[in-house]
Amino acid sequence: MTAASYFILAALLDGPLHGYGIIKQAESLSGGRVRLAAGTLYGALDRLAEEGFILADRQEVVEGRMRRYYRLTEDGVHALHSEAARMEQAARVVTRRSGSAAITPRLA
Amino acid sequence: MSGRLRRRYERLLFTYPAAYRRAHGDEMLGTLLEAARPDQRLPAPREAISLLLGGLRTRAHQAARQSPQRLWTDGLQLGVLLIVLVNLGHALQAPFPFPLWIALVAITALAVLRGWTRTALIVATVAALAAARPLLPQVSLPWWLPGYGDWSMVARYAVPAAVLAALAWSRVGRPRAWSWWWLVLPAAAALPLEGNPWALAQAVLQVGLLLVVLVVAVGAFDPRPAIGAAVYLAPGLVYAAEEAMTAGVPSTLALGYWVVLAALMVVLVAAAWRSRRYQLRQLEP
Repeated sequence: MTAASYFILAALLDGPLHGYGIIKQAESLSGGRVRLAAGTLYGALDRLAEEGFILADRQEVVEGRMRRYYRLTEDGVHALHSEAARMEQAARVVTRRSGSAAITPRLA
Repeated sequence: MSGRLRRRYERLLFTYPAAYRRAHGDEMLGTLLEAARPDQRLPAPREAISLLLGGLRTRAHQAARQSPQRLWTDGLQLGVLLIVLVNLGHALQAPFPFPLWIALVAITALAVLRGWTRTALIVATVAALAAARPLLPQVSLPWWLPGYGDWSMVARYAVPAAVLAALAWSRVGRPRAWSWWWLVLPAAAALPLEGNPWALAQAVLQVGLLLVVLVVAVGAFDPRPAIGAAVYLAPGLVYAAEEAMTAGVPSTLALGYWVVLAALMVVLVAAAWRSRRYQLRQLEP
C-alpha cells in the first residue's frame, strides 16, 4: 500500500470526509509529509474504491461547489489495520536493534 | 474566488476521459477551488502537473480495462498513423510529383486515419510492394512510380504494411478513427522549408516530443505513445544502417547515429514495457 493510500484510509477512520477534508486530514496525520494534489487524490480514491476499501457516502453543494463524501468499508478498515500491523512489525526490527546498538560500544 | 481560476482548472480537467469528467469533474473542481488561496488566479504548478498526469493515467487505465492488449494495439496504430502521414507529406513535397503514387499514399493515410483497417492493409501492401519494385531485379519501373533506390524508403512503406497485417491478424479491439487534426502533420511535412534553421527546429521539436512521450510513459504509465514512437523510428533505423553501409567503411558518425537511434528505441520499448506492467498490475484483483 502506498503512503498516499495509507493516509487516505487513515483520514477516513473517524468518519466520512470529502476531497479537501481528506487532503487536510492526511496532511495533519502525517505531520505534513503527505500533501496530496487533487490528481493524486482522485487516482488513489479510484483505486481504493475498485479494491472495495472505500465507498461514496453522500454528496452536497456548498457555496456552489460540489462535495462528495467517502467512507471506509469493513474491508478498508481491515486492510488499514493489516498495513499498520505490518509497518509496526517492520519498525520493531529496527527499533529493537537501535536499543541494543546504543549500549554496545562500537569498535573502529 | 476568481472565475478565471475555475476556467483554467476546467481546461486542465480535459486531460481526463469525458465519462470520467462527467462522473467526477464537478467534485474535483470543488476540491481544487477549496484548496486554492482566496486571491489565486493561476493553477498551482503541482496541481496542474498532477491533473495532467492523472488524466493521462486514467485514460491508459480505462483502455487497459477494456482490453489489456489495447495498450499495445493503440500504440501500434499510433505509430502506423505517424509514418503514413509523414509519408504523405514527403510524397507531396517530391520535386517531380507522381499523381498516381501520391493518390496511393493519400488513400493509405486516409484509410489509417479513419480506421478502415482492411482497406488500409490492402493499399499499404500495394504501396510497400510498389516502393520495393525498383530494388527487385528484372522488373521494369512503371511510369507512375518514383524511382526509389534504397531500402530505407521501402522500410517507410513496409513497416506500416507489416504492422497493419499484425493488427488484422491479432483482431484485438475495434480499429480506431483519429481526429482530422492529424492532417496538420503531412501539411507541415510538405512545407517547402529547407535550410539549417528549419532542420534544427525540426530536430529540436522531435527531441522535445520524444521527451514528452517518455514523461507520459514514466509519469502517467501510458505505454501507447512510447510504442507509437518506437514504430515511427523503426524505418529510421534502416536508413541509418543503409547510410553506414553505403559509406563502404562505416564512418564513426554514421555508426554513432545508428547506435543513438537504436538506444532510443530500446529506452522507448523499456518505458512502454514498464508502464504496461504497471497498468496490468492495477487490473489484478
